[in-house]
Amino acid sequence: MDPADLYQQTFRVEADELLAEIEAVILLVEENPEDGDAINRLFRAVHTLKGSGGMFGLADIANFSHVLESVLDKVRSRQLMVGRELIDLTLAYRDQVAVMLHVGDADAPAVDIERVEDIKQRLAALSPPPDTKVVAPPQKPAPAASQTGDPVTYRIRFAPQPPLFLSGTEPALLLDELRDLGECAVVAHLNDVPALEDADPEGCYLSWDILLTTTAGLAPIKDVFAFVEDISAIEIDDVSSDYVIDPDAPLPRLGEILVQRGDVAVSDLHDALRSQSRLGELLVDSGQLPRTKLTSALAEQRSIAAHQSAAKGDSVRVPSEKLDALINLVGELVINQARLSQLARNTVNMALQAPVEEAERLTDELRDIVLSIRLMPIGATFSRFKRLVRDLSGDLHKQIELATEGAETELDKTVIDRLSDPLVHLIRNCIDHGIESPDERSRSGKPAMGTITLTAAHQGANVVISVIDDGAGLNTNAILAKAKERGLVTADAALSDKEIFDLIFQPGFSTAEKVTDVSGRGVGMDVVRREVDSLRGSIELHSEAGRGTRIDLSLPLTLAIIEGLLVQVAADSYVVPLSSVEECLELTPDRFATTSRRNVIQVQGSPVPLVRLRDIFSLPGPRPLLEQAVVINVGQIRVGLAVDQVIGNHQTVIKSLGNLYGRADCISGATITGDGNVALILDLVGIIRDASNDEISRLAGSSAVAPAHGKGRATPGA
Amino acid sequence: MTTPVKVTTTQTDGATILGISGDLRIATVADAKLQLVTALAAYDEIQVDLSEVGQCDTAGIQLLLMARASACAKGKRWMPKGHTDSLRVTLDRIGISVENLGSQTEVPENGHDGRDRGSRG
Repeated sequence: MDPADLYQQTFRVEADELLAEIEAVILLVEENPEDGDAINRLFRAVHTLKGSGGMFGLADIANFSHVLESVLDKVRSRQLMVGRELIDLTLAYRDQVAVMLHVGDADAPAVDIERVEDIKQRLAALSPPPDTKVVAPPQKPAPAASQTGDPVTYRIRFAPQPPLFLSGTEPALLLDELRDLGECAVVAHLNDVPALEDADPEGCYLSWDILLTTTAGLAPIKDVFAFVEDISAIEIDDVSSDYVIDPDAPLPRLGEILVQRGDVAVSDLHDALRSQSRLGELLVDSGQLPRTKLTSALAEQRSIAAHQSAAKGDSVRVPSEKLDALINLVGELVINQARLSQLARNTVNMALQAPVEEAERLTDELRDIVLSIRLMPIGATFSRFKRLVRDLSGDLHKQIELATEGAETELDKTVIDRLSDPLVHLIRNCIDHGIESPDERSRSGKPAMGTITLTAAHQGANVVISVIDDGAGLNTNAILAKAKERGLVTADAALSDKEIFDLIFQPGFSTAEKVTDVSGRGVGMDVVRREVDSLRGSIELHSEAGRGTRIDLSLPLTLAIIEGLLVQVAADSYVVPLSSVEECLELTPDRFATTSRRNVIQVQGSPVPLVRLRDIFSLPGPRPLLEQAVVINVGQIRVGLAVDQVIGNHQTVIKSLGNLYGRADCISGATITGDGNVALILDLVGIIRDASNDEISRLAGSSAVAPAHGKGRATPGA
Repeated sequence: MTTPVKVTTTQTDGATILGISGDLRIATVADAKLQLVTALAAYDEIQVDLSEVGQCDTAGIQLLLMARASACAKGKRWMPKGHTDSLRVTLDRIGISVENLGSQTEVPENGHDGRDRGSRG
């Protein structure tokens, strides 16, 4: 790849991150306008965008950022208060820069120049007229920088670490900014520059000593280094007393003086600076500077500022493909390890036991660590929704705020990615249909501001993500009426609340009185469920009229590996996801509820319908006299799976079935067992859905519901 | 946008001249290193013609310093000339003198190394 493209790519990725940061922080500031730390973060992000944009020749981004940066600078120095207009403009800036960044991508929109100009003008208009009062800072002490205009001379030591260039920093630009602040003498240290053969040319091995005389105070100097302080050692010392300041003449460049007088070779000047010799003496003595005097000066202690290890939060950026390949390999390793362990168990070679056990332990650890790499906190996804809620509620003239809990809860990256759209849809539904207008809410005695709460928490081997609103709740009558209208249920059907909620997930269902632009026809719920199913998760609705609605999404922690129970039916092996297994029991005759119908068993006093895998998969051969039942619990529905044998726990890597078999009902994947055979992994949700409906619905205590796929019968009882 | 670096060697009058052309920047220094290393290995006294250098940034200057360090370590002389304006401007901005790009020479006891420093700086 052309190196130029690579850096452009890196810049775009980092610019995207900066834009995400800007959006997140401005929303924080909206909630808490006095948060000085957040305002600083915002300033730095825009400042960085300006700098990097400039460096990559993206002048429009740089200029645009400069306008916002100036306004934010005034906010920082408390000349300007944060208001709604500024927040709207910052969000608008963020949107437009996003467009600018991706111009040239396929299907990318063109930059709306008029809009950009409009934003710039409105930003400029925010700047206060000269007689605006300065707002007193509430907690922070007044800045100590000198505002009196006295010139102060600083010695600045700037010693970057090697990654400086690749972080997007061009030192010449920083030094230019210092020169903008006043008279400046810059000397570079070249001694650490390695020979070409051993050197990494993209690493920075230069450091600088700068003498700066300025009236602007310390803060602007620090600002210059604002976005490199993490990867460099910076020391700023007030050395005014070391120098004779002639108030009438500007401080001349030291290098010029010494070199012009022919007293000192430039290389010696560098040495002198490095050895911390007092340049004031040199200046004062400048008429005569024999080398011997300089040598004695050089004999002084030399020390270069020790590089501080800025190694907080060291992280590495890794392309997803590499990570996927790694996980795949680890998966193969786990499978292979299982086979090794099995062979070792069956062999008489005792020497094999210990190493194989050790290998198993190591493989387990490797698997855990690799899987944890893919785990990310869901907080980033949650924060994105703040903007969504703000915009959508504004569009619909409703007042809604978003609260979150458990943002640090970690999930597999793929799960997070695939959950994103469904969550958006659920939130849109809350805003559109769930939460009432402020008037309606006040009339019902609720606060005018509605709340949507997103929570995430670990529960066993799953993560439960909930979307909760304090709106009007689901209108069961309206839902039932609509379902009858659409022929989804028979006209005389009487359904429990739970069943009515379930109707929402049928395709083509919508009770919206008005179809708003915001969530369309509400047809997304079936898609939401399908997505959650395909993630081996489950979704549940709870609602109370007038109080609100709660939607729980329960998802496995990882998609790649499954803890399963290995069972045998006929000649085939199957894996039952262990997280859904409640217990296993023998199907002795006394288990059955009635002797005639062998479809229901008693488990701890309650009836549980029995589903025979033999029947579901049409497996040949006679049933054994004594079968086993594996009682599973999926979304509060308990079912017993009748199998020939329960073999044992089997932790395994899931292999997808591929395109040919991927759509098979009741199967969600396959794996290889320790003896090298293929075992199919059961899709419990599919099994329960496709199993004979009448047994399950009878036990759920209601009359039959006409099934979506046309299977089963609509007669009550059986 | 960025002109890649090209390192050429030419023989004239028994002397070898290394020509460096193109933009010496962070984006091109890795490639330039490869070309320079080859050239450095082959010759003892290296005159470097910088007159075709286009844009350059700190990384580019550093590359030249690295090449110089390499030459000096092997006892070869590294003598750049034809510094373009863009080179001079960048050197000035980052506080490196033009002399520093060339081989270190002895500084005699009396503080003058014989070079006419008055004409530079």
